[in-house]
Amino acid sequence: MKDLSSSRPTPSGTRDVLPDEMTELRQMTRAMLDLVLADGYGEVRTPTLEYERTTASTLGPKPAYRLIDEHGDGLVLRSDMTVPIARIASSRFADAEGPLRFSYLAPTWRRVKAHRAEATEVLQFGVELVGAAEQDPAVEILSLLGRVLEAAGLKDWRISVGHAGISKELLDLLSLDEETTTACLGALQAGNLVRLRELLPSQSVELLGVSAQEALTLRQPAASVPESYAADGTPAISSLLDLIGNLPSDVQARTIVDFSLRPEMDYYGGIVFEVYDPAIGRALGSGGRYDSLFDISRPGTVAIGFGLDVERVHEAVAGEERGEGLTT
Amino acid sequence: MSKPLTIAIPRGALMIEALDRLEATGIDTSEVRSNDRKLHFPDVGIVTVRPTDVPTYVDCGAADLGITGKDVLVEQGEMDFIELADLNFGGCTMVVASIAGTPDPMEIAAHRLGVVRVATKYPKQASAWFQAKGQQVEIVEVKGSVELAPLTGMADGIVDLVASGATLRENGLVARADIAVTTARLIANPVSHRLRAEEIDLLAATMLGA
Repeated sequence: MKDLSSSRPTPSGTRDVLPDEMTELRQMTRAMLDLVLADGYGEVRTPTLEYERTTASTLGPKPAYRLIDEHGDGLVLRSDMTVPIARIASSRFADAEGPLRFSYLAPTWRRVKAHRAEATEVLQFGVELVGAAEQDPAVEILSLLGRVLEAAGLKDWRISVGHAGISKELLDLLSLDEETTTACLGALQAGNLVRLRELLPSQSVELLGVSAQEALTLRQPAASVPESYAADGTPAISSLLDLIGNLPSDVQARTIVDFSLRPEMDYYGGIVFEVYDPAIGRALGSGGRYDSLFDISRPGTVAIGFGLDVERVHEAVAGEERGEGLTT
Repeated sequence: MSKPLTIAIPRGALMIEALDRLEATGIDTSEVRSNDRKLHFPDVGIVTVRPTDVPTYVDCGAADLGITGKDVLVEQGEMDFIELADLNFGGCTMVVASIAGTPDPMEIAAHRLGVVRVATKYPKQASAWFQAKGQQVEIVEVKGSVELAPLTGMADGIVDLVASGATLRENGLVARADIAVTTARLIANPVSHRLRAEEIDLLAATMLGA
């Protein structure tokens, strides 16, 4: 007989979900899913395994597991759902007219850093909006995101919204040499503001009426961003502030304008955002524009979506109930 | 009224200066100074932890901010945090050292054995420095009293942080090269850095004396 009680019953980064937790998770995800289904975001399921070349060429998150199929082709356990859904939109709906709306609730597997209390297997919930008219699909997505977070039971959620082009455009205003600009972008990406301060010419250089360092790392509640930024800023800043201005007021009140936000995935360009809750020290999810995934299959397609880590959302709900949120 | 920012303070060499800097921003640190055993001071938002644990507390969000040496940050490269400010105190130099005299025992090892054996508490920085020089290196990780390693023949040299160099001299070692100068840094949890941006920017500016 095999001893099933051995010390390592599940692979590292994975875990069992038992009935008490599962009941709460099921209730929460059902509310989230019902909401997006009612808005026309049809649920899809895609294969657990994808060809490695499908994911590798699009620079999604690094997969945790690789295997070889019987023909010798490299496979990976999918590391996100955005790339598979982009594949669906490009192939199954290649000739479809008008916007496509998809939703999913599915496990993904990502490579994690050791000893950081992170899971390899991440249950993700999200939506994708592909082929919308340019007329700001981000408004639809961010409004929906707000309602999904409410449906999940969160009270103190915040969304930090930025634009992938802002850092570069602001740095270009400083007319630095190319090497320094690249180094500044690297420092911003790494969150190394000490290095950024060393690289920038001097504190007296101003952007938008504040020091260059402050402008590059500006994080402000939407309501307190000066209106002059839209006119004085760069194209990316104007497009970000236009979007913020078009958000419904209840979402706008939860929005942080964030010039320092850098896209987590290389396929994001344009608007990017992250979801936070004060009860949890890590982002609950993220999203943004990923038109570049359609550059070859459906050039000119506007695509945007968000993905949430369901277990972290659940943890945040529990944290808020324990009083770890903002005291508002 | 929102609760105070939680700041992870390193126990040990950097602690007093770190508390002085916080005191200057208007945080009352008297209880922390007077109570050596207590670790958690929620009223003033201070937790005291080992210097190497500061990034962990900040990464997980248990602390909004933390103060620790640059050497610790470089060694814990896998953590997620924003490096906000160089606080310019607790200056130390990361050096390569070996038993005094010529020739350098590390040179002998490199020539005759093809590889240098180096004991250190900082394996990442040590191997990066030797690799950049094109020198093959074997790292022996130890948790403390690194100076003992060459004296007992366990290693040809060491990579360690020195303030005055007195410990090296006492043990008959001499610094052969400087790797980097490290000072205390203020780091922030990326989520707190956005949710509490104004408070954090203000505190960082005050601590920098801006």
